[in-house]
Amino acid sequence: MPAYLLDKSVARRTIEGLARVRRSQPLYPEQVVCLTLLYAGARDRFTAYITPQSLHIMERLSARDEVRVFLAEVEVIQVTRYTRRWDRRLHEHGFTREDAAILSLSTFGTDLAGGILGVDAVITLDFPFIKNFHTHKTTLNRRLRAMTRQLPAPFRHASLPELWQPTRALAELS
Amino acid sequence: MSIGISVSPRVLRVLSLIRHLETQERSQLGQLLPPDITSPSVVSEEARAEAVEYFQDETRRRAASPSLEDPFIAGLTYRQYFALADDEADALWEDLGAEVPSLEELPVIEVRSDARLPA
Repeated sequence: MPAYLLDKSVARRTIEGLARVRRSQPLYPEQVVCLTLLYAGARDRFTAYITPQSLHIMERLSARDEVRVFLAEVEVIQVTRYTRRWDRRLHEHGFTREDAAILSLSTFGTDLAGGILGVDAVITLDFPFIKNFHTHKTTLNRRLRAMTRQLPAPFRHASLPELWQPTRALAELS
Repeated sequence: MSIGISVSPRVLRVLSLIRHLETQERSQLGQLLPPDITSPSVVSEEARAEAVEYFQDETRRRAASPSLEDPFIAGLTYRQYFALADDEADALWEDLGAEVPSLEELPVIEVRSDARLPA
């Protein structure tokens, strides 16, 4: 089953969609797509992860029904011993602190049991982030290879994730 | 304007703004716009209804009688939040994320040697 990391933008649109559904308000297209994607996760078509930073935000809203529903459907990706090193490399390529953290966790993150290394894709609505990633992808792959060839298994097999909009993730799952 | 479908006044206002953009600005906008987010073929009506029904049930199990006057974010009710412009809502979410922990502050988890790798 694929593992997808939902970034803050997707988490927010999903929460907004859940709040609107609960109060019988019309949904915007992005909210429909995000809710449909979360539903695919709830149906075990993929494992949905969020970052610890997103969890921190959600915990501030944890009394809200829609936040509890959202958190019941996702896991939190965890830092491993090489996440921070890769994060520092990413800063050198002009990624913001937040974007570098997402990319490093999606490459060198794991679950609470240590049962995964990295995710298949980051799902985001942040289009400048996607564009910046694709601009630097070849260089990033080269730097990642240079870093991981020195590392023990399974870290030496770490790879960059895909960066997709929610619509692309739904298309991949269909 | 006649294009064979009903177009909302907000869409027409956006269209009017786009028409006044310089060539370079139009190019920048093209790079930022979600190309397929509004495509009707992305999520079928059936898939949408199924997801909405599932989450209606899930949220209903957790609370009764939700109201638009319930508190949501930053002292705003749901009604007030839903009425915000996107940039105003952006600012609230930015504030919520202002003090998130850095990677250095988070515990390190050991990865199993047989950990699943992305396909």
